[in-house]
Amino acid sequence: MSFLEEYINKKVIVLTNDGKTIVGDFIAFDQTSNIALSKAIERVYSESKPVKEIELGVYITRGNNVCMVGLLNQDVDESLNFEETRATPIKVILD
Amino acid sequence: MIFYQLFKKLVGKVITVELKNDLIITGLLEKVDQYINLQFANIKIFEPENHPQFASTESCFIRGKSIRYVFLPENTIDNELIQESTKEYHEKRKQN
Repeated sequence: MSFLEEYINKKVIVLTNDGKTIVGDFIAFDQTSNIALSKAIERVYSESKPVKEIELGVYITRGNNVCMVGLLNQDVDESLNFEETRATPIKVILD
Repeated sequence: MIFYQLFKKLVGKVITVELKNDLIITGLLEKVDQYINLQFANIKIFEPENHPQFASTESCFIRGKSIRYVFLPENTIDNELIQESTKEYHEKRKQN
């Protein structure tokens, strides 16, 4: 769990077990991977519509709901075209 | 314990994991912990056209609980060594 120290204060994307992708500044975590983000934005992808960004402010998620935490490459992220991006929703992890 | 040791040997190697949400990720394994949470560098998502969500993600932490399968290249692990470790581990458990 000392892994996530490297990501602190950086922009990350959190993938939750219910298939949500939340982007934000990584503020805090603990051994059970409870996660706190600030300036969090949920990116909602759709098969037919452009990406929708919902601002959440400070976002805290319980560790047992976390699937993956990815470090974002800010340059690449800024160049992404959300207008044209379409995607199938990510599956929910049930157990 | 056995699998934690096994994964420690895989650090520095390129492995592929399939998650329970069907995402398949290949990357260089950097760190493991006792829960088999994994940290990867230089990740590639399988079929990235279907998952543009991670187009800007290069390294990631994956929670062990969300992993379904781990795919290793052939000859990555020493089968005999693993078999012996397994026997020792279970013998110790019987004794305790």
